[in-house]
Amino acid sequence: MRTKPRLNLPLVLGLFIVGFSLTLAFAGPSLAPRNPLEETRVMQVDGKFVSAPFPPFTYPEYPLGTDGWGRDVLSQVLWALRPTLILTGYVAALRLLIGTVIGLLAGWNKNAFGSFLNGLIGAALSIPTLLVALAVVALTGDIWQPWGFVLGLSITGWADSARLVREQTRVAREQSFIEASRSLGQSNWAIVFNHILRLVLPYVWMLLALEISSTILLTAGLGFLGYYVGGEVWVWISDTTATRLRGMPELGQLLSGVNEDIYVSPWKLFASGTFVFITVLGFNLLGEGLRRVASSGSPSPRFFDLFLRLRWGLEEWLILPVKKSAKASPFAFTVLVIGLLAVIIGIFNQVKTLTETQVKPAQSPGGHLWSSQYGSPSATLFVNAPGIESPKVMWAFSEAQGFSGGPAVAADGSVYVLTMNGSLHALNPDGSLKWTSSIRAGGVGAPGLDAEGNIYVTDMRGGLTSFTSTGEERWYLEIPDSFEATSGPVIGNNKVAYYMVTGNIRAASSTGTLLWDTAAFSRRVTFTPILSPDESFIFLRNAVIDATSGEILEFESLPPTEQFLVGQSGLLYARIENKMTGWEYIDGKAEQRSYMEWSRTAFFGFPGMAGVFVDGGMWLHYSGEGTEDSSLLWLDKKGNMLNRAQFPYRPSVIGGMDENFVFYICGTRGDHAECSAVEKGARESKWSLPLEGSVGISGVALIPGQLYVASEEGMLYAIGDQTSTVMPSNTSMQTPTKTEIASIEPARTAAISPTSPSPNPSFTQSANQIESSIPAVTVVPEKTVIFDFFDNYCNLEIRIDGDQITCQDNDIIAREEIGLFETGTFFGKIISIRLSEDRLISRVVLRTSAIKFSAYDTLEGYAGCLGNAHGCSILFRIYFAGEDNEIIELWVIGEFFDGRITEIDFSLSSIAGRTGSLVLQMDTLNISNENRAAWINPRIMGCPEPAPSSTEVPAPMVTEIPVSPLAVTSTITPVP
Amino acid sequence: MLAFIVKRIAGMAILIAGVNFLAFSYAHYGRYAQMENNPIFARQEETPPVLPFYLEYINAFRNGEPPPVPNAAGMTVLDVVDSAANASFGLLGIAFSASLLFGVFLGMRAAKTNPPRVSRWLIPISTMSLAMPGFYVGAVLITLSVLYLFLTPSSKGDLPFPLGGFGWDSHLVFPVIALSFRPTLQIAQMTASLLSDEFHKTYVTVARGLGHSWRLVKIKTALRNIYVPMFQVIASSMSLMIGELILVEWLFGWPGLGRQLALSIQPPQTATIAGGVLPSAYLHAPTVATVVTVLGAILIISNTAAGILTYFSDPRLRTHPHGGVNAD
Repeated sequence: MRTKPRLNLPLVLGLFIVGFSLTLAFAGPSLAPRNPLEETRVMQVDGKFVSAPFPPFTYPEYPLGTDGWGRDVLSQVLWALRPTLILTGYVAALRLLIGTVIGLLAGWNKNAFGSFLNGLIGAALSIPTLLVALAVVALTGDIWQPWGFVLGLSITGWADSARLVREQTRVAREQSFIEASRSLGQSNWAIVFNHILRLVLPYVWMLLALEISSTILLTAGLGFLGYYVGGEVWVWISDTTATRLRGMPELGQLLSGVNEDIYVSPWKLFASGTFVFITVLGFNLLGEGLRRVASSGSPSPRFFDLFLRLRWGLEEWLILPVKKSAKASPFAFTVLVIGLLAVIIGIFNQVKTLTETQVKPAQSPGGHLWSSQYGSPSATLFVNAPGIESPKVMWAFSEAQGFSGGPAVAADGSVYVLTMNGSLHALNPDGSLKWTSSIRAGGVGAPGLDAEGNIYVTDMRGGLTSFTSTGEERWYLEIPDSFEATSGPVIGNNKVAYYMVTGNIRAASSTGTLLWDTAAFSRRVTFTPILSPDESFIFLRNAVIDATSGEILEFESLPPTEQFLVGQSGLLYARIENKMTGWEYIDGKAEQRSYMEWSRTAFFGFPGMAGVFVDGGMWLHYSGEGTEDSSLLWLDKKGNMLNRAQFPYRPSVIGGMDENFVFYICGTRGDHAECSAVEKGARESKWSLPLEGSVGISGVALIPGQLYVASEEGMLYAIGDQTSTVMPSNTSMQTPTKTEIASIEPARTAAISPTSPSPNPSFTQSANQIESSIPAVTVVPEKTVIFDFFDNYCNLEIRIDGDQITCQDNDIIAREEIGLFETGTFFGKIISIRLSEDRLISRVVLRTSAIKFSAYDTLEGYAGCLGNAHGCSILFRIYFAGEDNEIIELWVIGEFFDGRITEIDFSLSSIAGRTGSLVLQMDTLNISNENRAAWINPRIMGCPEPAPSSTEVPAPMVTEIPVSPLAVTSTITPVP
Repeated sequence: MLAFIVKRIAGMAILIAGVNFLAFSYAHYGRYAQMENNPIFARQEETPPVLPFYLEYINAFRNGEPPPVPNAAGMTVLDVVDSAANASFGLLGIAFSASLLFGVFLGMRAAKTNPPRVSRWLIPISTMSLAMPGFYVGAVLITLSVLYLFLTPSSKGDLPFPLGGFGWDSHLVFPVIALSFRPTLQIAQMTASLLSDEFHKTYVTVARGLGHSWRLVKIKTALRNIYVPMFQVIASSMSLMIGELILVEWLFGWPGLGRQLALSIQPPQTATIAGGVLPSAYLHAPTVATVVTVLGAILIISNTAAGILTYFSDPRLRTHPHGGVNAD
């Protein structure tokens, strides 16, 4: 009669704890309340500012507190378990394999080889694994991440397993059935595999559990000393200084940096150490429980029964029949095996193909070829069609005024382009002019196209005009007292047009009704809105707007973002500095899907345009706006730089990429414009084509087999392949030069037919009325300095901690005429505030006298911390103090890095027409000894009240546009 | 017998020399590897061979002019290692003695006689201790101290035991506890289970039959028979302590060999372009080689001593043709 087995308490407890750890590892990232890398350096609690680290059990947002960088400890630990357990799984399996093999051989062999292996086991047992692991990881860790760690942790750690296997082997070797097998003629290998190994296998699970626990301890030890999986990340904290930081959390990583945190925030080490302890304890208990099972004399527990039954079944029904058939007919067997392999490989490939995320080319509404400034509303710039191999300018269209943005290309190939003086031209694919219409003010950006082929354009009065594909004006949406539009419109499949007006974003319906108007920025921005693929969000560089309500959305689970974009797979991405997070919006929350970080030393500065490929790799475009040439960088999905292509363009625009991921980039090269094509990951361009007659690029559009380039000098080029024949036959084959263009004055055949009836009665005007109602274009003169803080320093009201002081009588605020920054950059005028131990300064205020602000005023300058110490914690604020004591916040930034300077450049249009003081305020959030906070070159730029100067728009002629392109006057200069 | 000892000592010397060369090579190549792969300090020069540098290092010692340690105010490698070794030997000696004494004491207390078994209270404690690395024990002690400060404002910031620093006084308390916690319980566990196994044997029954008390049996009879495996356990505890020494000294700022090694191998946390080179103390090959050699020597000596003691304690081993700890 079988006796009831005793409760194996270590096994039960071990299974429970290990199960809990594995569950946490699996679900941890989903359970984490925040992004583990999200830094919250300062929080406002009950009106007070508190800075990181936050202690545990104090703030509900951070139950286990944060580290010195303000990163949530609980989230870091929950994210860290998974990579740790995966790594330890690999290492434990490898150690077990090595230990089992060596142990078997050492226990079996009694010869010199056996002695050698015994000595090897002894040596490996006596060497502390940590030291060997340190050596190997230090040498290889960075190169072979994470396999350097696997190698380092496995190189001596197998000895414990080897010792146990050796002992079991030695015991089994002396058994009589082994002697019987030998006498029956079985080879040593057969005896070892068929008999000895079977006796050892029950201990395998126990050994695996113990290996995992010792590997976790070793990983923790390495991490404690600063070596961890995932490697290091170097983050620039000033122009000349970088600090080594941990990136993606891993338990070993969390234990590193102890010297920084242990006395200030010991809870981080305690929390991560506790997780290590619990996980290791679980595996130790599991190992002990399994050891009891393996070594007990009682009948095997059920799961070993099951294992043996499965093994018997496999042998009886599969292995033996296969062996028999292989012996009976080797040829048939071989064919069968090959066939099976082919089927398996085929299935695998099929599954791989199905599961691979395909490129989801962002769809333009109505199937248009290029429907806005960036092509599709999602701005992935991907065109799923062949590009251009051997370029040539097929034709060029010239216009005396420059183009305000790139062209839009409809599904039928019609090209629409807008000029800076408000003319909208429609061209046929062969470059012939279809029609021209005028709008009420100068054009802004590229035209947008809706699904029905209607064209939308914005103007410098902030208005939005819609035309039919035949050039008839459908409606005009104007908001009283609106500022200028700062981008062309983007239209989704929902036929809602989105466009920027200074700092606001507006949405208009297809019938010309304003849906909403949201103030997204306090300064003038020129981003063209980007739509998410499902058109539920609008991305404005670093802001997310609900497309339906216009509400500005905040996602707590996303880090503070500089740029939102849509990847080629349709996944959404958020970039902050050199980190990219992939995310999806699910059930009201932003769920993170991927993360990537790259070295800032690859290229100092941050990209204008960026994109993510289907495989997770990235491209970054540096447009050469400053003193550097343009560049395109390609990174793999781990953030390693694949290559960098440089172009002698300052600045440049990306025109798109074709189905082979060839990028098309156009820019200003000295005194002329040029376009190039470069393959993904290549250093050199495939081809370059100069564009004579142009210098600045307004926009580029890539369609299948054709590249349209619009310039600020009024040239529209159609670049195609030399083999294609798009142009008319009676054309001369030359790129027009500038002088040639000058002689070809386009005849203005502006045709505005009577407007179609519109629901809005204000739009029902006859052509004659339109003629007289087109207002004169207002020319805004160049900006000048209205107020310079540095020059007028002694006219400011200066207060230090509430005490008013004179401009001469203080040793805290200093003015420096020329400021030399570490990189050699010269700033003209610095107002620096010295922070020292002698006096604990908390607030310094510089206040102007009353100024009347206008809509065109902007505030420019820089703010930051100078000096070489680490620990600047300053809050810089700029606000408007009205005469009625009203305070309007204009700009605020917290600076925590010494040597980092932030540019100030924002519009004061929000306080236009008001009179009051502008205040620069600096608050210390912490004691920042020996640091210097600085306002650098702060000044108000503006212009006198714009005097309307009448630049008359030519009166439109109400004439029919001839259908035949041959009848059109010479606006075409075809080329071969 | 003499041959056995001589063989062991000769083997020891070869091993120590090997460790010295390996450690020097590791630091030499590791430094260049870090330079190549580090974005701040990246250099593209070829890694020079280690042998000339190693010979220069050996000759420096032979000539009585050990190489200087960077940023150490003119101190040589020998000066630094000498002062660090004093600190480490003292800490290790006290921790080892404490773990041996407490471990054996606890083990003997936990070895129950009737019926022979290990006391239930020891098993969970020793199981938990195996999962608690030394730095975690240290972190717990530090956290408790910080908590103590919060809960007792009247303490005015004075802690009963210092959290870091050096001194042959209360500064020793936390490092010794952190270092000896696991080995103590490991020794206790092994002592208890080995003793309880011995209590099953016939000679114990005979001794009891002859009227010996359990106390006498434990101390005089059974304990002698577990010396051999205990030496192995003690040697492995020393090995464990050496491994943990680096982490514990680093955590508590104890200026011993472990901390010196950690200072040499811990990657730099900040970098400036103006410097453009790796800190000279990072992976300084002479320092790393000398420190690792001393630590390795302690290990090798303790293992060898365990082997020699085992050889002399077990007469069966003396009659075995191969002899030694790892004999079949």
